[in-house]
Amino acid sequence: MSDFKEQTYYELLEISTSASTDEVQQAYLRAKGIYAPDSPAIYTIFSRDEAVQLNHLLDEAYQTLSHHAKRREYDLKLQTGNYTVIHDKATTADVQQAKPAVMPSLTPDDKKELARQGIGITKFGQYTIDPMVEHEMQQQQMFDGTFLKKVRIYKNINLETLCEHLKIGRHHFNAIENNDFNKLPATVFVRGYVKQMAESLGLDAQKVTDSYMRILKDVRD
Amino acid sequence: MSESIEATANMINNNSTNTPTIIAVGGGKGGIGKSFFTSNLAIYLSRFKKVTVVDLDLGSSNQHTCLGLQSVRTTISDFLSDKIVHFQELEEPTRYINLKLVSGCFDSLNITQLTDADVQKLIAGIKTLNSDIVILDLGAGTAAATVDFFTSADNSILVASAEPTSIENAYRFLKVLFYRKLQHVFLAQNAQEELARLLAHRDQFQEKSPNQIVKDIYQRNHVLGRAIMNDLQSLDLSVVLNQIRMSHDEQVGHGIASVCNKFFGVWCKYLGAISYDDAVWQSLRKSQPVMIANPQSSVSQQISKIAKNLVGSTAKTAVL
Repeated sequence: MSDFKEQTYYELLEISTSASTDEVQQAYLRAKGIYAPDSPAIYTIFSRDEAVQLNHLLDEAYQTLSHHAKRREYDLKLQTGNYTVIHDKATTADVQQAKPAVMPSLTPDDKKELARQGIGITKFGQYTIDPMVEHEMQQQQMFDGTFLKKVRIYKNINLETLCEHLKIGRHHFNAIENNDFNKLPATVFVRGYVKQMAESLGLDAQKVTDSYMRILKDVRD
Repeated sequence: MSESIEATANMINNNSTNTPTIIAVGGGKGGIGKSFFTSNLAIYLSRFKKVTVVDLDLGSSNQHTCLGLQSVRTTISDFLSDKIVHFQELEEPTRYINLKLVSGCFDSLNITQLTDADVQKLIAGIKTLNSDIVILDLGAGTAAATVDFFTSADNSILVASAEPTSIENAYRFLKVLFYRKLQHVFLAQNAQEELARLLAHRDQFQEKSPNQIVKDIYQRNHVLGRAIMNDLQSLDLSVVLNQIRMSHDEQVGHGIASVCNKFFGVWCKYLGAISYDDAVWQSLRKSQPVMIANPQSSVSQQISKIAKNLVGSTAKTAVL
């Protein structure tokens, strides 16, 4: 048994040393979901700083084990016992500068394969695909705050993470999602926020923005 | 017998010893469905083997209601007070074939204050039951007796829901379990001084993960550290997530299992999730397990799947 900071990359991802690249990827996506700093599964167990450190190690593990040459080199170190502190441990500075967890880029084929397995991917992590919700998103014509919030929760995206990523104040997102139009800034800003929000949620940004701005115009007029 | 049921029955091998396989169902939080899960797991397993449910939710027992019994002749208090000598005499038949109950119904008012000797007497009594499988339904909270019953089992199932309050209590339960295990091993190894030092610096220890604490102990005393590691690794722990409302809540179940590994140093398997479903309260109104009242419901299917996962994952235990 060992502390997570001293686990091998395989132990961190909870996979065997013979795991295929697909298994590495699936384990990584699952671990990123479990150990996101705001994940309920780590409530009262890991502090935010520890979660950031753990995520840093998970990223390292994935980057090494999903890369053929890097993995071979790492395996060799494990076999020869040269494994002591191979990870680049996250320092306090890393923690302070840590960006919200953003997924490494996946190829369209990767995404198709994961979708086939019922796993949807966003910039921030994964979610379980529900065909009924997917259909509803396709058919939806009116994109108000309530619907945007529903999509965000469905896609397992934390509001704080989204705010940090887009560098937009949380109060603005709260006002958008709650249809609290009186608290929204000037129209030109709202358009920008809604557009960025829609893009992050993987929705048709033009369609969403037009719909939301029509609702806002009706209220403000 | 359908092919899948036959396959499950085959997985449950014959018991080569005289003692039953003991499954404990626990978790720190009240109202998360431990009794509900216990009665339905018992119904499923009783299709293949002789099963006894022992209601150890002392002071708040209601397995008799879950299994449709209005009254019982004897209760656990009778055994502890020596009014009943043999634990088997506490077994009451239920309306279900192969399924018996040892009830905590009408227990005496001080039943919640069990001594270590009471716990050992009950565990010894449970092991004398003639059933193939005994399922212990444990109460909420982190009382030493509850934790000891949980760890005495061959399979320990932690039930939680995806809500933060439940997760917090589940982890609290595991932390108490960890300290209780340490205490037992220290005393078994005659390491009272080490134990006193640990307890004196408990605040410092609480800042560390159980993993780290064991590592510190191992560095100071290899024999003691190894004994604790072996003891923790002998725990066959799994987790069931109940009352989920969204499919991605399942991630919490995987998460708890993973945290057990990374934080507590205990291997834990995630057995599956049970959805929040009106079929459950409808069955409770009828005092029937949902597996009987509504066997086609998604909840019943999920419980069957969890039971199969449990049976299929018990390579470490002798019987299942």
